[in-house]
Amino acid sequence: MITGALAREERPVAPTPSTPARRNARWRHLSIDLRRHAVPVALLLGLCLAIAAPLAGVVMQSFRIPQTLLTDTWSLANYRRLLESDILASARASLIIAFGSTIIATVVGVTLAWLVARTDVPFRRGLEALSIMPFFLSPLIGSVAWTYLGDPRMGLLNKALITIGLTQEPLINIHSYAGIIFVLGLFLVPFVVVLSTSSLRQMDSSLETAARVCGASTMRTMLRVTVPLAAPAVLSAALLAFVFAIEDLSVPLLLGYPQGIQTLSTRIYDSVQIFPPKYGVGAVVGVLLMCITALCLWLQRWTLRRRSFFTVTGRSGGEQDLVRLGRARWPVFLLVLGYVFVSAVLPLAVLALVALSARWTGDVRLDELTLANFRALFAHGSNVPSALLNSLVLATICASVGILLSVVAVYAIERTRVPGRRLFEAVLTFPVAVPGLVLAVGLLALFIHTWLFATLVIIGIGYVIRDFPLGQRNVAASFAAIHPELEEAARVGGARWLRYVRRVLLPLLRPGLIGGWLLLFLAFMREVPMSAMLSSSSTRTLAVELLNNVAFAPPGVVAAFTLMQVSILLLAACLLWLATAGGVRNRTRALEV
Amino acid sequence: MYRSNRAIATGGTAPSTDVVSGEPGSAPFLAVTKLSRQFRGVGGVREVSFTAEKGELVTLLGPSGCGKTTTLRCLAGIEVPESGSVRVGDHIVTDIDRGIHLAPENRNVGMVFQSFALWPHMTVFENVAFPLRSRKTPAATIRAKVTGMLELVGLGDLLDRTPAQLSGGQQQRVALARALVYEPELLLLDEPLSNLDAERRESTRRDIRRLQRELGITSVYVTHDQEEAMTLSNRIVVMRDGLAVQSGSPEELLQNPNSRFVASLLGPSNLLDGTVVDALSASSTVTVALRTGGGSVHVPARSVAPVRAGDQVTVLWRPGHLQLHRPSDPGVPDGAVGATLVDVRLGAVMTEYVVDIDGLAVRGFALRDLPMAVGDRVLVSCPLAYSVCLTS
Ligand SMILES: Nc1ncnc2c1ncn2[C@@H]1O[C@H](COP(=O)(O)OP(=O)(O)OP(=O)(O)O)[C@@H](O)[C@H]1O
Ligand SMILES: [Mg+2]
Repeated sequence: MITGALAREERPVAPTPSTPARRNARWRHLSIDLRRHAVPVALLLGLCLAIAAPLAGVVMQSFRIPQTLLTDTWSLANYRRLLESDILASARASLIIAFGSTIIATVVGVTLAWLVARTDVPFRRGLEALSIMPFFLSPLIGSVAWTYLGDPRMGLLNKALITIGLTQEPLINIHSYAGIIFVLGLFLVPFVVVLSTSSLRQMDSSLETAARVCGASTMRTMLRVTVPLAAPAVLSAALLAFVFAIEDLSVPLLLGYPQGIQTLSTRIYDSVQIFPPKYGVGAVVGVLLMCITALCLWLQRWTLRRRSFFTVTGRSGGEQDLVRLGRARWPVFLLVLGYVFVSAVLPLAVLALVALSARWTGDVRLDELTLANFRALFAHGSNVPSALLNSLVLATICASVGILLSVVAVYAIERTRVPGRRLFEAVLTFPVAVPGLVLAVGLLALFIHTWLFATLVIIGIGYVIRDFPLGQRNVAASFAAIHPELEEAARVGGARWLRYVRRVLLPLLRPGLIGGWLLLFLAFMREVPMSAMLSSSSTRTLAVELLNNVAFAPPGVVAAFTLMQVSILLLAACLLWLATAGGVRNRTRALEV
Repeated sequence: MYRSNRAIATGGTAPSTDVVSGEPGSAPFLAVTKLSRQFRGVGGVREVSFTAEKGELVTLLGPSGCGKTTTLRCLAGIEVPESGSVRVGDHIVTDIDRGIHLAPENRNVGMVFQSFALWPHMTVFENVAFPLRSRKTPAATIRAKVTGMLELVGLGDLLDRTPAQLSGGQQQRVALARALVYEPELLLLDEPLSNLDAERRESTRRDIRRLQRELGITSVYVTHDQEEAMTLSNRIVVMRDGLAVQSGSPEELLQNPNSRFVASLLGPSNLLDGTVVDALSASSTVTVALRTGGGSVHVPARSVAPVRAGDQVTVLWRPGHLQLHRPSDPGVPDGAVGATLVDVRLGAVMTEYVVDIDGLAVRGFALRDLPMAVGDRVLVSCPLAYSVCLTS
């Protein structure tokens, strides 16, 4: 019998379990712990309430029938509206558009992701960066640009095709289901690319190598090994794309609405824009939309649960064996460039062309170029400067507030022992499943009779609630890198909480905070649905002003306006890129729900 | 240096810095009483008590997960215990029954963390100066104290480096300097050597002991390494599964371990199962029948706790205390038992051997070469003072 034989010994017995004295001690313990973290915990609670309130607002509104100006009765009448044919038609339109654009986005996006992640296509890094360009252009901008390209009467592409004699009649009609699906799909591609690139990179290439060693061709390897292995990641990206597609307002509003194509999202928009507004209908369609998005997100989580099955983390950092494309290398490269051309270059080019033309009829007249349209933006009587100011103020303040709240919430969740903090964490992710339109209906239901209605504040509240999870995920990611002992060392060293936060926590979090702030800023600058629903004539943001202009202003001015927005967004995007070295990876994390 | 105005003591009226009544000097400097902190009823620590005199170094020794860090964090104020009390000098810093638990920043303790926890965005100087700045010390004093302390730990010329530019051993010294610079009443060290390689460990251990003695600072040191505990401590508290199972000076623990667990934790040991056959009520000497492969052999042992004939016990023989004799040798002690030498391993410092007592393998160390060969019949004995009879 030699050293270290402790296994068979009896374990020490546990002291007496729950006695009143012990319960009392436990309570004392908890109260000391809570008092210590009172501020973050209170803020966390408040935040959860603020998120839950508009959701409750929508649901309540959906059961409410207005009687007089200030009194309501409760009934299911709104829900009966759901079964009427116009709403059913809209639901059908929404599903067609969402499915169609999701298929386009997934097929194109996954192919692009696979090409840049797993093959030896030339200039992979550059292509990866270029392929997510449309992300920064926003579907609204894309829709405006594609109106000038694919309008049956004035579309540049139609005119060009007729001019070179390919057709007599206009070939492309962007104001159709096909048009909407195409434009929306094009702008969802970057999401799919970002979401699936990282998964494809993490995939252990030895599985593919093994298949090829067994004699399988490149094509066969891809179909039989790569695709099944990547399926959960792809499915999850597709589900997210579907959610983005079904809650999008700007594309159907610009391209379908004038043609009478009504989706669920334009219905909600309509219900508050018409007079008198029908909040009940908006709410009930909102509840329906929310159920669809929540279901998709739940499915998306579920697909990712078995993720470990196909990732091998141990080697994810290392260089992977790339699939050799052989003679197809350069043709494939051109194909990718073609996508970039269609999704970014062409829209920007046509916008520039229209903006510089004195009149736009679909023909290029290089002799009539002018800067008048840009001057008109800032001319006397133009609403653009005030919209620009509104947007900048809103985005700046809301991004700051959002990040600040994120820090507090993440701190309260990660560093305190509040009972139920994991539940709070779950509540904080709710807004992801709530389309902006629906959130706006909820806010209207809550604030319609208060002074907040028709102020920038109500829009700001909407922004912060909706995109809070985005900031929180960013902050949480940088927080995870800060060892709790760094805080404890400061406290033991005599620093009070505020001093610790100022001198230790914030400096360490700074890169993550800047990245998160820019991401929120970007999101707020291009936000459409909530801004459109909640703004009044004096609180229009850039995007809402653009929506307005499309209806009333000459094409040149609209194009100039759009270009101005593009440059703001691209500037913010560049800053984001610089602030987060390896920007792609950080955004991936932010996009994952 | 207590800032009682910042105390977060609950109950409103409870004073945060009680002065303990009774004659000074009689009570130990650090008194930890029945400290409990559990995590949803599992893990953590239960009713841990120990004391330390002023200037002493107490070691919490135990295997991984036994609650050493939890205890230390309760002492620092980071973790809030569920019950128990802690007194440092004249100040009660924790007394859960009365709702007192000072926040870490309101205690005057220094702590060296397992991860060192140096702030990566500050230089060495700023790291060490941080606690002084938190205390609003004048700038000139800060400069003098920080440079003085860094000289003391041998880093006088690295003031402007960042932690990332230091080696593990240097980081460890900065952490130590940061914990000591404000002259805390109590120093807490959480496995300060576990992140260092073997050579560094030896020298840093000596430095810690030197500094601790020079500054006369009462310290609580956490480790799972018995050698560290033996060489550093005035007193060792052995912990297991959240309980403090025994405490005492290294000598006391070595001589009178109260369980197989403590015995084997403190170093190589032979733990031999047997039955008490003869216990004289007047003395602590007992005769134990050790179970061997075939039957039993009788050996004398010294019992720490009272035993009766028929009790199941364990006899502890430390390998270094065993003596081997040839059957022909004169003056073989009385309790020697017959065995076969089955293995001999030569080493630079000592010779390690294994004897077989009728199927029972026993390991021993000898400082000299053995005057016998593998396969020889031998007699093995353990002096009565070192043959310890354990009851649990
Ligand atoms: N925050 C916590 N939540 C839940 N359980 C915990 C927590 N902290 C510690 N424990 C549990 O309490 C027990 C004691 O942990 P502790 O960190 O004190 O061990 P230790 O003795 O320091 O171990 P090591 O030598 O590995 O550092 C462990 O079983 C651990 O799982
Ligand atoms: Mg530990």
